[in-house]
Amino acid sequence: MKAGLAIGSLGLLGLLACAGASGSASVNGTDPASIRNAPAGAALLIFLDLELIRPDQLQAGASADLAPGITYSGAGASATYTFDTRAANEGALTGTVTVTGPVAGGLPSYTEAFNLTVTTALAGGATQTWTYTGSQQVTLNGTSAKVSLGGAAPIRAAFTDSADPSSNKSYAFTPNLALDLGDPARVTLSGGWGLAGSNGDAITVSIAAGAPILWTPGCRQYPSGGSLALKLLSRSGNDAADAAFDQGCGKVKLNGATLGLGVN
Amino acid sequence: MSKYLVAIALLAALPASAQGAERHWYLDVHRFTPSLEGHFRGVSDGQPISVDLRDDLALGKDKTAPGFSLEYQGPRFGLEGSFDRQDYAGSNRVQRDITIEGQTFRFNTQVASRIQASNLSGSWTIRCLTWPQFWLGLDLGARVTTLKLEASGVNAFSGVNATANYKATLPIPQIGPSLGFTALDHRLVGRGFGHLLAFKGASYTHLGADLRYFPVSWLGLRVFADAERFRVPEGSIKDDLDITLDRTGAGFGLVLRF
Repeated sequence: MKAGLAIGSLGLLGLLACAGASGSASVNGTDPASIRNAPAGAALLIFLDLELIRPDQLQAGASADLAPGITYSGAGASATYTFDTRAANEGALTGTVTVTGPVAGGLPSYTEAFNLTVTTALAGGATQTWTYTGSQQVTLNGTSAKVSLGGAAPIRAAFTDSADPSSNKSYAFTPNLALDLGDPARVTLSGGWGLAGSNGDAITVSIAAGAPILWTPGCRQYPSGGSLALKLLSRSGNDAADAAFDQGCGKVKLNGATLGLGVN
Repeated sequence: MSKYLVAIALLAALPASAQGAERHWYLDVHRFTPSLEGHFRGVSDGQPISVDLRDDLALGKDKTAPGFSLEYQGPRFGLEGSFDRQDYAGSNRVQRDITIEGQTFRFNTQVASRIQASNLSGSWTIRCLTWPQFWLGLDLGARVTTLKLEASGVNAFSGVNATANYKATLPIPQIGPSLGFTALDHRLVGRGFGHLLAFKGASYTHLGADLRYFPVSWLGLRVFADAERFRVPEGSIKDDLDITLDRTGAGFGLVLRF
């Protein structure tokens, strides 16, 4: 028996030498619908739709190269922008953003009233729809080129799915953002936003202090830089995700998966 | 080392007086459906791993492929080779971050997983002490267990899909006492064994019992039970990997004797 135990010990030494492990792992981002319909994806897409054209660009008037399909009527402190373009989730974005309020020192200080609809056609004739209603207050910060974006009342983002009504949901979107227009070639956005879900979930999105959301002349419709921290506070537990606009124009990376955005 | 080999040779020579006992070959097809539980924690093949097969993946029995074994049992020694394979599947919303092959499935991710476990065994049984209907012996052999784990999951918060594949090969020496008997004029044949290993805090236990009944001399039924327990604490065999595996179950089969 001692011989057996001794050989057993040698055997385990052999096990150390012979035991092997191998494998592979990947983040599979080939299912954009899964990402778009998840809470973190919705938190990003709602933000991108509502800030599709930055306030300074709205004030200056929609230009064809900025967002084809957006028409402008009115002037300055009272204007309506009519959308017939692509949403961030690649659906059809229609509706209006109405701007009212004073202009101070040539910089915007006004209210944007949203009445937008994003429609995505699914196979079999079903549709998924996001509707955005509510307003955002754009406030000039003194005479500097800094602008705050917020609102006393949140903007409502409601989702309906004609094929799966059980997935219908809504979020109350509350921006708390600061726009720096000091360098036209490098417009940055800092701060964050929150979404209160109809199911009781709360999502907060924080723009990293050292990596503000960045717009550059080469990519005017979507950010081309910046990092975000997303947090979920849910009755079923908390969760977190990270996002970055570091994949090129019209793309965002969420938890390692790259999601293409609707580009006109 | 040489003295151990001499001791084994002497043990093999002991039952020379039993050469009059019967010699038989056994070929069987069996079905074995053990449970599989355990965990991997630490670093394997350079990649982090932290997963519990039951608590995280909720793995349960899925499919069982037929197993085969071929044996020779004679008066002085026996030889056995066997193979079996089982599939396990699970689907669970993980309640903590788990990591497989460096891929982390975050809390609240619905993870679907599958494990294929295959076992190839070979054993030489030395019958050290024999009586007309009973023997005591020593098993020397090896068993290679291969676990192939596939996992995929969609995180409920981000919606991001992730997949991971992990394969572990565990060759384990099979050493320990065994015993057997025959009764009812060789219509009933039984065997049991205990294979035990221990080294630097790691341990392996393999216990088995096998009973065969032959209504006719060449064809019989087999029922057996098998339990394996594998413990490799962190810092024992590998500094940064903690493994536990438990595999317990019963099987049955059809045996040809010739």
